[in-house]
Amino acid sequence: MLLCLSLWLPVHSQTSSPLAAHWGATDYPEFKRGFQSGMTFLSFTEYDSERHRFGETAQAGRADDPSTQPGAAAEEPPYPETMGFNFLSLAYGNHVNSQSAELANMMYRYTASIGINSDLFTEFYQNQVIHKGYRDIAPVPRDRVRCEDPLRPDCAEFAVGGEILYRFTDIELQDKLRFKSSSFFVGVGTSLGTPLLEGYVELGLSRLPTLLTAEYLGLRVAGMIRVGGNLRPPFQDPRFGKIAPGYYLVQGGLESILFEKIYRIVLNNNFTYHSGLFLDDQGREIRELFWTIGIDIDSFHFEAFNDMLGGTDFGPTFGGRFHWDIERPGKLLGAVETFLQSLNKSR
Amino acid sequence: MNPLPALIAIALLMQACGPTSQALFRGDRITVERNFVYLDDPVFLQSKSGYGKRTKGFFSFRLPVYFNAGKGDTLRFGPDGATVRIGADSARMRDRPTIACAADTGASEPDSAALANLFLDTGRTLFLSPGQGGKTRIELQIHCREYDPPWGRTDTLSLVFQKRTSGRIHSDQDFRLPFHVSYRGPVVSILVGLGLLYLFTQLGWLISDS
Repeated sequence: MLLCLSLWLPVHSQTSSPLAAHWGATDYPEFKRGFQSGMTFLSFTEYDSERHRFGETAQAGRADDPSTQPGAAAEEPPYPETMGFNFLSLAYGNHVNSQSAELANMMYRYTASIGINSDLFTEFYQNQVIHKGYRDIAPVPRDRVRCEDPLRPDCAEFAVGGEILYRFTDIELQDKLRFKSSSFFVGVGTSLGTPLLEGYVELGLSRLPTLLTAEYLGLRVAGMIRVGGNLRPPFQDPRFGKIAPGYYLVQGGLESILFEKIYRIVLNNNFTYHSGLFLDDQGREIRELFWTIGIDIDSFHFEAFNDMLGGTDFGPTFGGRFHWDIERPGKLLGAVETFLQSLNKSR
Repeated sequence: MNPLPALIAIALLMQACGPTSQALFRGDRITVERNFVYLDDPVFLQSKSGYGKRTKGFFSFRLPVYFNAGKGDTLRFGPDGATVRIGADSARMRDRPTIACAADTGASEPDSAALANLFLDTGRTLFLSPGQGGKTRIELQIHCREYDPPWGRTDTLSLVFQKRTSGRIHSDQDFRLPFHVSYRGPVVSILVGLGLLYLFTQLGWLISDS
């Protein structure tokens, strides 16, 4: 039923998936009103294909090193488990005053996610599809997978998130005062989940139509900065043994819009520098560079992100998202919408 | 295991969970091109994008809007209140043909017979009011007769509202919305999206390998 609820059609928008920003997912806020649903897959691997262990700086981190073999008296590596995060998310965004024009400044967005910790799909995609099927390179080994049996209760993942976004307005004096939304935004948000507790502020510009605007092709640029603080969830057996107390990420990219009026396809390329969510065995943040491609088509958004820009293949190594806009919510989602609007009354 | 069948199954499930009127392979999306607002606009658009539906000589689409008026105000929407002009909103538009449309606020989508009756009722007037809570979203349905818009052309929807405050009539407000109709189809879009994703990922690997 939950799946059906999240897939309600007719659909029409970006979920704030938990963790995804730390895997290189595009992080520009969504300014559309309404519901959005989506799936997110994130892979965290203990080794790369050359058996270097994530977070270990010395040769001792190699899987073929005797000190890492069973029976050897070695220190526990910082990230000894491979994990796959699989989330199903439902997000709702609206203006703080829900009766205002669609260009009004202040918006909120809530996201609820449920999922399972399972490496089944991410391992298959990484090794069978990419490494073996397409690129013919060595598979990425796994020694310890956190949830071999993903149906165990401790393999369930939950997250809730909230964001307040402010989009700046351009005011033009034509025949009378007219208001246009600008590309500049600021935001503050939080995401509280089983893998991570975090809060952040962000600012940037999205969808700035500077380069080219023609009937069948448009080029836009976007960029943003996000600064956040993290806490490990207070569980006995957290997903990540060590996390950085704070981070910043810088993201920038180019978007091309094809066939705007006939069959709109938006292709975007983004590059992300992340100061590091994870710490190495010396306690230093492990910086990451990600490359992301995204495709907006119809009511759907596809996205794939990978750390190959940083030349690594372990830790937060790759992920993908698929989400869609729910244009006509049913009765149940309508009731949820009314409740969320009443929570955010500005007057 | 190939993920493609699973994604197609999701698309079909999406269809099963949603209203049956959704076209899986071929449909119409309408997009309003107006990207600014005036403070005295009679209604505010809830979304600038929606679905269009072609039914035997009629083209119907839905515009979810919020009422923009003070307490006690009503918007009157007469039988000639909605028209579509072929072409963008400009001075040249005066010479273009005008398409008669009828507006409705019903949740259900009428069939062609009901649509024909809607046009026969010349005395029909639609009143929009904000309701008790002041949070009412109005699902304005527009049905246009003998209108078959091609994908990609910009036409202009003209909505003429008459605002009334405590029975007193204010001047008519002509709300003009340039829009275009484009293709939509969930299954085709999912397949095209996956194909493009694959293509661009391959391109990325090629670049990184070289």
